Amino acid sequence: MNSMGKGIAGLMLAVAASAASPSQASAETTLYYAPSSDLASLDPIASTGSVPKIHALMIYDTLFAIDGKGIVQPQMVENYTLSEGGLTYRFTLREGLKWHDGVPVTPEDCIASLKRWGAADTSGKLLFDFIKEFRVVDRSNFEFELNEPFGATIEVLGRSLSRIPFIFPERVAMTDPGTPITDYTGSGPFIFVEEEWVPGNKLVYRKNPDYVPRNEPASGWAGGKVVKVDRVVWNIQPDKQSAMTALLAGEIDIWEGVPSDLLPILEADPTVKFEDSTGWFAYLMVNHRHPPFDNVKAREALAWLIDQTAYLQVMVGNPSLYFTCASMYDCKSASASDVNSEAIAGYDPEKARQLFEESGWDFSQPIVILDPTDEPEIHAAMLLTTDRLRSIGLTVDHQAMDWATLTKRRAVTGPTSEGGWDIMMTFGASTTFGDPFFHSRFGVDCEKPYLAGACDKELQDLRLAWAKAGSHDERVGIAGDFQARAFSLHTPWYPLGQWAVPYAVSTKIDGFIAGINYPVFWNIEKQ
Amino acid sequence: MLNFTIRRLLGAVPVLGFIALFVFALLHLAPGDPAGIIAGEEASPEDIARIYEALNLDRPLPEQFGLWLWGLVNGDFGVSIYTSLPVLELVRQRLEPTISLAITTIIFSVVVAIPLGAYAAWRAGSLGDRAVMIFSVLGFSVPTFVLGYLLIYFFAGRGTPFPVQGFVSIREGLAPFLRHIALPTFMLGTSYMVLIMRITRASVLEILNEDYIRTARAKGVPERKILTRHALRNAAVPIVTVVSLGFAFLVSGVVITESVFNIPGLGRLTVEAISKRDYPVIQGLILLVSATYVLINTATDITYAFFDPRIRY
Repeated sequence: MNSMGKGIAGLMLAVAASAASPSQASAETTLYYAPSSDLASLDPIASTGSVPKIHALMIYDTLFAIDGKGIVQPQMVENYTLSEGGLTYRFTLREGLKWHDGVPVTPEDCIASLKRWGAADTSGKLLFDFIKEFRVVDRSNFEFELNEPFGATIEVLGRSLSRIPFIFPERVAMTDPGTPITDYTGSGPFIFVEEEWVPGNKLVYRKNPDYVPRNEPASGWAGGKVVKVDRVVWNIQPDKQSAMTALLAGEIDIWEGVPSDLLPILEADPTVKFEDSTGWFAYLMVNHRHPPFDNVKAREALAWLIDQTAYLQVMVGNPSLYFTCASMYDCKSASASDVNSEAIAGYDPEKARQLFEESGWDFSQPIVILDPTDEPEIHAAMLLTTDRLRSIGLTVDHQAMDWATLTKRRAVTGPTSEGGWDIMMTFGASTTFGDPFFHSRFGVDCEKPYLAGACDKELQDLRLAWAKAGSHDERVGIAGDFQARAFSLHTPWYPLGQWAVPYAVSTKIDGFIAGINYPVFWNIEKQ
Repeated sequence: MLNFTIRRLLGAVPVLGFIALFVFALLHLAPGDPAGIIAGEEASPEDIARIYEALNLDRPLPEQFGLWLWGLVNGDFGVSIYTSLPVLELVRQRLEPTISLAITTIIFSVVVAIPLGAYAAWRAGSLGDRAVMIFSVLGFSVPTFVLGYLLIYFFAGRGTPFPVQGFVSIREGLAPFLRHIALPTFMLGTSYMVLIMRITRASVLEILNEDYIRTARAKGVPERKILTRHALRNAAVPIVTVVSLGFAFLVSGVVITESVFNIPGLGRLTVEAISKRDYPVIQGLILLVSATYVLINTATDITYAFFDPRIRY
């Protein structure tokens, strides 16, 4: 063998030896997680995106949190009291709460954080309409006083899912809600390792050694957040196929957002198991500001064109993962009902055509549909929508674009001739659709109309009545009244059905807690 | 030669200035902006407007362009809208994987392609030549991502030396570096290798029919020496052009390979920035890639003179 041959042979031996030996002679346990998409922001208040919330659940804590049964439980709060007359809430913080830099958490931090959240979040704004003033009582107590009783106060603090009221250090919480924060000091069970962050590729978290968990067992986002791994590494996966092979090769442990077409391959592998997620709730929005959908007849017509099974088939494909739901609310929630849902549950193109004619709409005028082709589920649904509208003789201007363009276009309030739109679609975590209050899509305020411009004072009053209601049963009743009125075609949107996207998890993992929209990483053990 | 190099580099300044203006205008005239993406799915119009304002996107375009240009003059490429990290820091993070992949790909391609291409020309029409040509057609025809998935399926994962994805710096050891970069190099290098192979074959074949080659043969110069000393050197100019331009292409165009093998390189950074409308990052990257092209073209021109002494500037 000549010298070059010897060199190549030596190199190959070194590579083989490197592959055979453990990469790190370390006792550290590292959990590898692949989120469904990249992080749009590290600020869970500036952004309503889902991945920023998963990041924030690791490094921040909350005053209250919902448990696995959906019940709001104290988290940073040790206990709270409500004064007679229901106007003053006093909160006592748990002992041992510290920021990642070792400084104790104070009532001032909590108040500043709530104010930032309240300035941005839909439900937070409503709560703040009732808050007269905040008061710091001492180093571990603070209170706020209401103008009038607001029955849903604790619910709002614990259940707000569009923007979760995370607690930040006061200096961070002073940032304008529209300006993303750049200081990632939290008090949660994990510490964000900023120096190892490779945006778009990798985020690293290490266990917070000073975190004092609650004594209760972990449940949902509540209970004792006991961290059982040393590090959690997020691997952003740009390609679903690559994510699957990485999971099968043991290079990632938890994969969120498994496409249904890859499920059979994973199901056949004994090293992979599945954990349920709450799943998604899809809905179609029409622009109430302009013809044709400023007319109630046209809105009713569209309801008769909706065939949830067809939509779910093109979006998801696997019937074991989806189910139809002709309610405004998550069909697994207490508020779900079928009141006034005949049009949504039915499918009658002929009736839809007649109603469009009765609305006075000129069939030769184009209906503008926004189709983000980089979002596979929405793209499939929009193609189906176009097909269904054309099948009854309507003219459709099907505009393909990317999601970034759509986020700009959907905010245009003018008519289609000025860059506006008529129909678009999106989907959100199903548990955020459990009532008419929390999700911003239920917003029908005529003074501050939402994206689709839907406006109905009676519906808005019902939202507020839900928030003020004193009991669960009363709220369920109001939710039914809201749907009855909304489905009498003041509806801000049309439900298209629900589906689950299970987490694919390595069998080396135990104690994974799923079930409330987003995964959490405490309680997990890795063999 | 020095004058030529200086002239070329100075000439690049207005080119880069024009590119800066063009890219800025194109990006800001394109629909979509980052505010809606940051705000997220459930954001209200007021949320989006608040972020739009916070990012200074409501300022007049000439003012935004002026601020960016002033920053460039002072060596500041700006800050990513999403991460608040400096653009140059993001590029620094992503440069090593991409440069590593480009270099290993070039080495792999050149080492395999030039001998095979020269051999195919030397034995034109033989079984060996046909085998090389069939291989080159296959290399061109199989889409890169298909090759990548095939490589992962057959050669990566449990029980193999090759991981499915990721990148390890050479500073962490040669062996882990090679284990991680071998399959991506093969994936990216195959189509590039067959391109160089075909160019080499065509160029050498043309040279082998020249009068001076016939003269050398008539003088009894051994065939091996004719091939290496006379034919290959004289065929080098088109080969060098393909190799050098290929390097610039590899630096800027490896996004598919980086995605399939989850390598945090510049290609992915570019695509992510475009899809999220991260203006400062896109602008900075395009300027840097343009500068790279200018430098490589200049280096290529200088290399011509080395291979062909008749070329003078």
